[in-house]
Amino acid sequence: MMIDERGPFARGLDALSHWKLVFLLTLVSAILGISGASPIYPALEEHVADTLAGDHMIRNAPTLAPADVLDFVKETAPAIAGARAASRWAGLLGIAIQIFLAGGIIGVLGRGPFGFGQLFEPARRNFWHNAKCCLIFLCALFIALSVWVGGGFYARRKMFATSPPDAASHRVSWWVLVVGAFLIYAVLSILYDFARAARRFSPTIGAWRSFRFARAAVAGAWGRAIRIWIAWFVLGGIGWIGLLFAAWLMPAVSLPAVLVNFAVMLAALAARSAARVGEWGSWIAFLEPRARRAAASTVRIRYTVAQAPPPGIQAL
Amino acid sequence: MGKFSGRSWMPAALAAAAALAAANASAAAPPSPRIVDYRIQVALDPDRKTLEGTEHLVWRNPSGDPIPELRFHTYLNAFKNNRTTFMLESGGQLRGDEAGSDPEDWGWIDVLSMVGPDGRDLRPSSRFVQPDGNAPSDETVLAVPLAAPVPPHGEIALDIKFHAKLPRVFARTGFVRDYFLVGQWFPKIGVYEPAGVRERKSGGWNCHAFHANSEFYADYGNWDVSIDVPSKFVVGATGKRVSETKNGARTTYRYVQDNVHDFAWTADPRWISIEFPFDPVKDVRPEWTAKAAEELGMDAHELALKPIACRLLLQPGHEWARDRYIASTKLGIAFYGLWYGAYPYETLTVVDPPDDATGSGGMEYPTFITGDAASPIFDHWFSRGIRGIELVTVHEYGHQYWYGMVGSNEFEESWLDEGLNDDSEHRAMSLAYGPRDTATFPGGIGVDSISLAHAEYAHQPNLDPIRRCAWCFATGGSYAINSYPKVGLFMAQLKNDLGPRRFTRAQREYFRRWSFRHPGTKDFFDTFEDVSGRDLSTYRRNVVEGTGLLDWSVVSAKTTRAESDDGVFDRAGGRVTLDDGREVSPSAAKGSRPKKPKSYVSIVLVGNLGDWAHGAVARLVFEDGAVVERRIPAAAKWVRYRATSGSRLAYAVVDPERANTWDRDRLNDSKVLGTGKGAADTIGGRAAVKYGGWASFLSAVWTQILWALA
Repeated sequence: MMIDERGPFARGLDALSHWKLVFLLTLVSAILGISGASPIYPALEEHVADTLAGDHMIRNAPTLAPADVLDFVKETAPAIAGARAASRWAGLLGIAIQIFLAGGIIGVLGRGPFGFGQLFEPARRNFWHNAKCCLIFLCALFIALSVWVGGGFYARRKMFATSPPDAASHRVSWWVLVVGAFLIYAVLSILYDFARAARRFSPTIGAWRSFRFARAAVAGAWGRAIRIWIAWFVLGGIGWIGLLFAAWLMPAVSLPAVLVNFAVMLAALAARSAARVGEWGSWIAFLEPRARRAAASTVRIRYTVAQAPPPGIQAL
Repeated sequence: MGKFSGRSWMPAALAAAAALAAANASAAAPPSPRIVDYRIQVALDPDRKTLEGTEHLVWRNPSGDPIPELRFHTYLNAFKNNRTTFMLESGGQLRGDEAGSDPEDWGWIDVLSMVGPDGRDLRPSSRFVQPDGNAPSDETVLAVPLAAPVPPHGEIALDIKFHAKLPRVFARTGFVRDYFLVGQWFPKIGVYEPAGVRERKSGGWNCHAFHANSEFYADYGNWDVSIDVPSKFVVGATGKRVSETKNGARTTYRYVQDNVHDFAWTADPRWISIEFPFDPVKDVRPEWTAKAAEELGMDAHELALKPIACRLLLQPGHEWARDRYIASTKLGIAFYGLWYGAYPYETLTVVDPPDDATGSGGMEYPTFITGDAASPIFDHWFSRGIRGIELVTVHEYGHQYWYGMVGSNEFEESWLDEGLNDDSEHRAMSLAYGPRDTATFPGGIGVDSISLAHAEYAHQPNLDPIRRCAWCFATGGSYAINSYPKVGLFMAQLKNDLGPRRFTRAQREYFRRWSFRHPGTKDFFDTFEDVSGRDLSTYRRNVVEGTGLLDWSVVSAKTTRAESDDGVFDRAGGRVTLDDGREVSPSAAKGSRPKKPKSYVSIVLVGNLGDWAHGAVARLVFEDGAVVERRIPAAAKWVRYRATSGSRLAYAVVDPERANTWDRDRLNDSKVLGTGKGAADTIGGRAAVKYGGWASFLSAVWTQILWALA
């Protein structure tokens, strides 16, 4: 049991040896980040590099730095708004790139060393399939979370209107709502990943049927799948947020310290990328023993029943 | 049964006040001229959310005018319907809280009877008036004509019965579940201002409607209030509790307080009542006393404070905030007591509102304040450094001084209470918590109250002057900016210009002169001019009563090699050939000519982009570490500096110490020219790279968060 339980997770860790994938996801994140933030660079040059504000900020000078940061936010509001808008678009582009790369990742993982050509070919081939799966996932997520969260808040308001804010009922119902929403997301996220991974085992499967494949593949093993999902969520989250805070907490005044600061930022981006690759590795391992049965369950068989010949007519 | 008396009491009261003041010139709080005496009995029905009350009021005419009509505030009527002045102006929202719209959410007060001196009920002849040209259906000011005028310096007694329904809390007063915060709840007489008070040409009532952007104004006197509630309720109120009488399932608490101008109370069965003393020996740090004594030029023993019986009413679930409330209450008592004068009352009640009644938080009443909602979200390692509880507690306590004891008119000159208190709060907070007084976060960053005030001031359109009636501002935001942070900045500017000693002495003197009286803007400036010996009319004209802006800026800065005479010149002594300013022989070999040390000319143009003429300091710093400072005269619109030096200019900065808190844009205060060396080192370029990297990183993190959908 123990071996079965840990198998996919251990193979997920093995998948991290595909450093090219981790590197590619990190690079894409960094480029999109630079693109998103680029509208603010000229403002930084004008107001931070060419005034004493930069001095105050990087030294975290008491009273001077907060005043300069707040003035910077006000004086460069259009640049900041531009960066936010660009980041929104970069985020959407990031989703599209992820949809694209997922098609390649499920093709190359666990099959030894690969070249970028081997990655991009299935990525291209599976792109529309993955896009359709994404649309189904987003619709399902929106409906499920709306019903759960909206209904939950409505019920809370009706049931606990007269109870004080520190009452246990408020806290418990709040956590039920949060944990329920988290589990809804986990379940739909697993189905979504499995639907995309279906193309590894059944290269021509359609989007709807791939969700049937996913449901069949995970049937009877939901607990295990969710444990693996949570394991990667926690592991990736700890690495990602831990490194993010490490970068935040560094004073980074000298040039070498600023460079180290940048390295830690990149490591944080790499941690998230690695968690994604590792999770895919686990899903492939999880699906391999189940794929044949799951694929079979998606086969639609039309029966044509031969009609008996009308009475009185003899076969020749 | 009312009574009427024509005896004159004013001269005796003034004589007593003068005698006491003379006996102890340093005493901060002379007794108030007692204009009102209230004796109120009120019963709370917690199920219906109603109050039944009787009020015996004695009002003394402070003027030499006969008064034929009285005016009362009936503030709870502001919550009566959606057509009141308050509701129309606020849109049913105040400080982020929204009025309820269920039938039980409205509130009002009915004055049932008002029996005058001759035993006649004055209520039938009374009428609601709209003194500010406000909504015609507004019922927050009641005019009561009298059968006979109150004679000059005479008095009148009235017996009033009233019934009130409390609103659901969203703006200071009302109920949520079994929590009641009861403020502005009884018929309260307005202020009759005699000629001369606050620049008045003739006497008259100052009794405004309840507006969205205003608070309160009332006269001083004695209060004796009995509050009858079901026994399960814990009660807190203005003043000192003198008795507690059980009567079956109900209990009556009697509170008395002299020298105050309002009364508020609270009741909730869930209160956790924590009593703690303010002990000057333990709770005042010696360094605070030393600093105050040094700034005020007084001996430490002259600043001695008194013990105070404090009480914290804490909501269940907020126990984590207990020590923070207590520490900040003690800080407020210590700071205001040391710098302005000892708190004269025996008690102080601090109320911690529940999370679902935050609209009742952050309010001041005499000897009774409500704090910020102590939501558990501020009890985490990342949020513990946000000092909202401390800031609000210190601020509301500060209103015991600016509003409580110095009774300025909050309707017409909100800057004199909210604004002065904003400044005092900044100073108290920085005294205790250092330069990042408002918030500190993991990673060592944080923010101070002056920077936040400046940001609020700089981010808002400059539409109004500081001094304006509260409902006359262009927007609610303009009211808030001009009543709070702009005044904080103005006071900081004044402090920097006058120096901390003159400033603090002037402010203490202002408090001493105007305690338990009604000062106006002129009285503030008169006091400050008397103490500082300076003409401060430019501040009043441009900053308080005008919309003057100050924005010193380094318009341009450049540094170039100094050009010496080069070439052939015909001079009095004959023709000479000069090379880099030195006479050379035309035939001399170029390499053999001695090298002249390099020389640079730096030209810096600084200008005031604002319209308030006020000086600043300009500082030029060179790469070799040399520093040149010049004082820019107040009248100058711009100044061009030309400096010849053996080194390049590293940077130029105007107002380097940030003494001009009124300066609107600080980013344009400096220009950096080169990489800098030695003492002139600047690392702005590195900062731009670092923060550009951070911006990119955050954008990248955002894209990775969105992977949750991909």
